[in-house]
Amino acid sequence: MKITRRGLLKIGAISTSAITIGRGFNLFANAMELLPGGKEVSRTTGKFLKPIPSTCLNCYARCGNFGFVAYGGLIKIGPNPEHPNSRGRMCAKGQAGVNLLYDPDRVMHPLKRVGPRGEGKWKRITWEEAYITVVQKLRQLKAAGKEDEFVFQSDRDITTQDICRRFCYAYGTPNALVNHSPGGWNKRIAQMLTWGADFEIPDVANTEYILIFGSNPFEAHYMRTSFVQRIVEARGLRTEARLVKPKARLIVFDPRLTQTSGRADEWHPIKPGTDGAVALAMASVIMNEGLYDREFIGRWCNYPADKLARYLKKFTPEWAQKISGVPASDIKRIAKEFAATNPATTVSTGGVTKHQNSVYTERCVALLNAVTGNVDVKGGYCLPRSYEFAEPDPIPPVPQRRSELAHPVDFPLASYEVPQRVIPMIKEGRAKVSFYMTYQYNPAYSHPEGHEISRMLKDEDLIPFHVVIDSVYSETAALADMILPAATYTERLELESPPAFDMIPFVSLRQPFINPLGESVAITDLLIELAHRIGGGMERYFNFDTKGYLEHRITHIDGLKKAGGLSYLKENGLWYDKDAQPSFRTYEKKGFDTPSKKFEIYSERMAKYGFNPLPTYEPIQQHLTMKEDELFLITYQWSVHTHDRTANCMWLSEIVHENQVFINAETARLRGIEDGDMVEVISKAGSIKTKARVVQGIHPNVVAIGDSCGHWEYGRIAQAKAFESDVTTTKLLWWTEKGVTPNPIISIISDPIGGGEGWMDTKVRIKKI
Amino acid sequence: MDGYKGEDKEDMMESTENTARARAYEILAGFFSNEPTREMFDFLNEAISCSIEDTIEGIEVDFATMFIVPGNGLQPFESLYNRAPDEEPSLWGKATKDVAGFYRAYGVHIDESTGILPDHISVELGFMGHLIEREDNNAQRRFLEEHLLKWIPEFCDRVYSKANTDFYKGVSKLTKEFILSEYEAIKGEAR
Repeated sequence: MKITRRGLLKIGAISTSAITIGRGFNLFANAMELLPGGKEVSRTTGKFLKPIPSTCLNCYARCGNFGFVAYGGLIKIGPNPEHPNSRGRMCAKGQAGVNLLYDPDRVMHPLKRVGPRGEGKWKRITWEEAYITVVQKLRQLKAAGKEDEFVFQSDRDITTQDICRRFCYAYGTPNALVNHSPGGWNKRIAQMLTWGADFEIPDVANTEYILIFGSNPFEAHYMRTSFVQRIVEARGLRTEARLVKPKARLIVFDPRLTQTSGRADEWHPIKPGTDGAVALAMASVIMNEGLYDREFIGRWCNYPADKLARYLKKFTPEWAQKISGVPASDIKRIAKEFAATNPATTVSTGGVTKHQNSVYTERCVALLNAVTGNVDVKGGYCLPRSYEFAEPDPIPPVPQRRSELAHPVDFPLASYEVPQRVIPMIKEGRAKVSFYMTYQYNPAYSHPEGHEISRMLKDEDLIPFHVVIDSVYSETAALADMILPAATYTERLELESPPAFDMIPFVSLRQPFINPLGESVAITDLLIELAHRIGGGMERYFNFDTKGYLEHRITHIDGLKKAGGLSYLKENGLWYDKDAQPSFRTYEKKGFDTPSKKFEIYSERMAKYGFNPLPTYEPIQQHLTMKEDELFLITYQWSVHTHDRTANCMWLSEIVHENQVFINAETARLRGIEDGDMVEVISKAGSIKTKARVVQGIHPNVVAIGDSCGHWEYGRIAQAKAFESDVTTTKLLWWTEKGVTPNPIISIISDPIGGGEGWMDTKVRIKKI
Repeated sequence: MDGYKGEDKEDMMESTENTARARAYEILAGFFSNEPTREMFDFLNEAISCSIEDTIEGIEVDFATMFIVPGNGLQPFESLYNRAPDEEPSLWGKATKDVAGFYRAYGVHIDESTGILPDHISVELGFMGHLIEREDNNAQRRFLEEHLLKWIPEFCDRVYSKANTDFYKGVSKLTKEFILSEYEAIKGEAR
C-alpha cells in the first residue's frame, strides 16, 4: 500500500464527476448544499435564547419543560414554571433529555441484519428500502388473509398508543399490543373494576393525612415531581384563611426504608405482598367501631354498611399482624386516625401493584378511602382529570378476529394484552406471528426471565421477521432483523393531557426542539407513511400528516379552539380553561363509570369470573412454601432512572450505575455477609452476582435490587465502557461497574385478575461468593 | 511579457492543484458518508496502488459496523474525539458547535432537514474542499489546525485497526496521509 500526496492529487485532478459519492440517501451532497450565509456571521454567544415550551417524556409524569436552542443544537432542557402540574420543578431525568437526544451511541440510520440473528452484523439501508421491505411483507400477509399475524408491541408508550392502535386496526390486525397506563396493569384493572378510572390522583397538597402502602413518591411515584412537591408542601408550612395549618401526617408501609419512609412520621416495615391484610383490618376497625362515612357508603357505594361491617369482622388487626408483621395496636390506631382526620388519602403504587394479589390489595386500599368518605373530595382520593383526545373520522373498526394475544382467555378481566406473556404465548403456540414490530420496547432486558425472552426472540421459526423502531441499540434491537431509527421525545410533535393536580384539566404540547438527528423519524410520521404505502384502502384512515392529525384531536375542546388550537399550544406549550374552578365530587353528576354507577365495593364483574367480588386478602402462593433460608426479592426504581430507557444518559448513569443487593444487617450476619461482599442471589429462574449492601433499613426477610442497571447492550455508558477514543474520557466515565439487572431471576408470574407482573413475588437464597 | 506569462502559468498550476485538492477532499468525504460505489472502489484501488479483494457485502457490513451501528466507538463525529478533558462524550458537543460556527462564519449552510451533524467527518472534509475553492488559505490553515488535525489522524488509526476489510484500511490510511501531507504543504506555504 503506497500513498503519496502527488499520487492522490493526480487522481483528484483527473477524476471528474464520474465519481458519484454514495448511493441512495446522500449525506454528503445534502449536507453540503451551500447556500448564501445567513445574517448570523458572528460566532459569539451571549444572545438571549428563546425558550421553546414543550412536554417531557422521560417518564409518565409528563412535566412542562423548556428547550433552549443555540446554533441548531439543543443546549439545555429546563422546567416550565407555568406548567400547572410541575410548576417549574424538574427532575434529573427531565434535564437529561439532552443526553437521550445526543446519545453518543444513538441509532441514526435504518439497519438491516446480515448473517445470523443476534450476531451483530448489520448493513445500512435507505428508508426507501426499509419501507419497501416492510410494505411488501404486510401486503403479502394481507393478501393471504393473515393480517393478525402482524403483531405490534410497545409496553411503555402512553402518548402515541392511539395512532399505533389506529394503524393496526386500519391494517386489519387486532394485535395492537400497545396499551399502557400510568401505574401499570394491575392498578388499572383494580381501579376500573372499583370506580371506573385508570388510577387515582391523591390530592396530597390539600390533605391532612397521607397513608402510603408500597409507594415511594420521594423517588418513584408515577406522577413524580408533580406529586412529590405537593407532599412536601403538605408537610411544610401552609396556611388556610391566614391561619397556619398543621402539617399532614405521613405514614408509610414499606419493606424498605426508602427516602419516603425516612421522611415520614412513621415507617412500618411490612412483609411484602401483605398490605391488603393491613388495609382490610383497618377497614374492619373503621366499620366496626362506627367511624365510617354513613352518607357516602349509603348513597355512593353498592354494598350496605352493615353488611360490609359484618363481612370485615373476621379481618381483625390481630389476624393482620400475624400475616404482615405490623403490630395490631398500630393498625388500630392508624385506622382510627385515618377515619378521624379529614381529608385523608391513601397512596399505593408498585409495592401494592407488582404482586400476584395486586388487584385484591389495591381494592382493599381503595376501600379505606370509600368508607371514610374521602373519594374525590378536596384533599382526598381523587378521580384523574384530563382531556380525552378525539380520533379523526373515519375511525377504523376493531378487527373482529379473535386474538389470544390481545385478549388472553386465561385473563378474562385484563381487558388488554398481558405484555410479559406475549412472547411466551407465541412460544406456547397460542398465536402465530409472521411479522413482529416493536416500538421503544426492550423485553430482552426489561421483562422477567429476560434471558428466556432473548432466546425466543432469536428463534427465527418462532418470530420470522422482527422490526425494531427505537433510538437506542437495545438488547432487543440487537436481536432484530431490521432497526428503524426513531425520533426521541425532544424531536417529536405530540399531545398530552396528564391528570391535573389542580383538578382543572389541561392540554400540553410536545414539540420538536430540533429536527430529528440523522435519518430518525417520529413514530407518527412513520406510521402515516407506511399506511399510505400499504394502501388498499388503509390510507383513507390516514388522510392527514402529524400536524393535521393533532389538530383533529383537539377540535372538540372549544376553549382551546377559540384560543387558537395548535398554534396557541406551540406558542405557550399548554392550555387550560383559565376561568375554571376546581370541582370535586364529580361523580355526583353522572355517577361512577361502573355498571352500577356506584363505587363498587362489590364487583359483579369479578364474581362472574369466579374471583372474590369483595375486597379481600389473598396470600402470595410462594410465601406459603418459604423455606428457612429463603428471602423475598423485591425491586425498586432509582429516582434518576426510568426502568429501561435512561441507562446511556451520561448525567444519570454518573449518579447511579450499579446496584447492590440491599440486605438487613442481621440477615447478612447469619450468612456471614459483610457490606461490600460479592454475593450470589439465586432463584428458581436463575442467579445473579452483585455486591451486598448491608443496612438496618430493610425487612429482615427481604432483599431488594433496583432496576435500570446491568445492560449488555444499549451503548457504552450503560455498560460502563470507557470511551477508548480519548484518554480523557476514561476520567469522565470513571466508573467500571455497570451493575446487574434482577429481571433474569424473576419468574413470569401474573396477577390472575389484572394480568400485571408479580415483580416482587420471587423467592431467593443469597450466599457469599 | 515573458514574466507575466510565467506568473500566469504559475497561477494556473496553482489553481489546477487547488482543484485537485478540493476534489481529493470531496472524494475522501464520500468514503465516509456512504458505502462505496464501483467507481470509488476502483479509485481507491488505483490510489493506494494495491489490489483490494473484499466482497461488496464485506465492505458494506464493515461500513455499517464501524460508522453506523452504535457502540463500536467509531462514530465519525469530531465531538466524540476532540474534547476538552472535562467534556462528556455526547453528540453536538463543543467541537460540533465550534465547527457549526466556522461554517456560518464562512457563509456555509447545512440543510437542516438532513439531520446531519456539522462535525461528521464527511461534512468537515467537504467544507475543507469548499475553503480551497474559495482560495482562503488562512481559513484552510485554521480549519486544519483547529479541527481536522485534532481528530482525523487519530480516528483513521482506529479505523485502520478495527477495519475488517482492506478497503477501509486503505481509506483510513489514505485519509490520514493526505491530511498530514496537507498540513505539511500549508505550513510550507505560510513560511
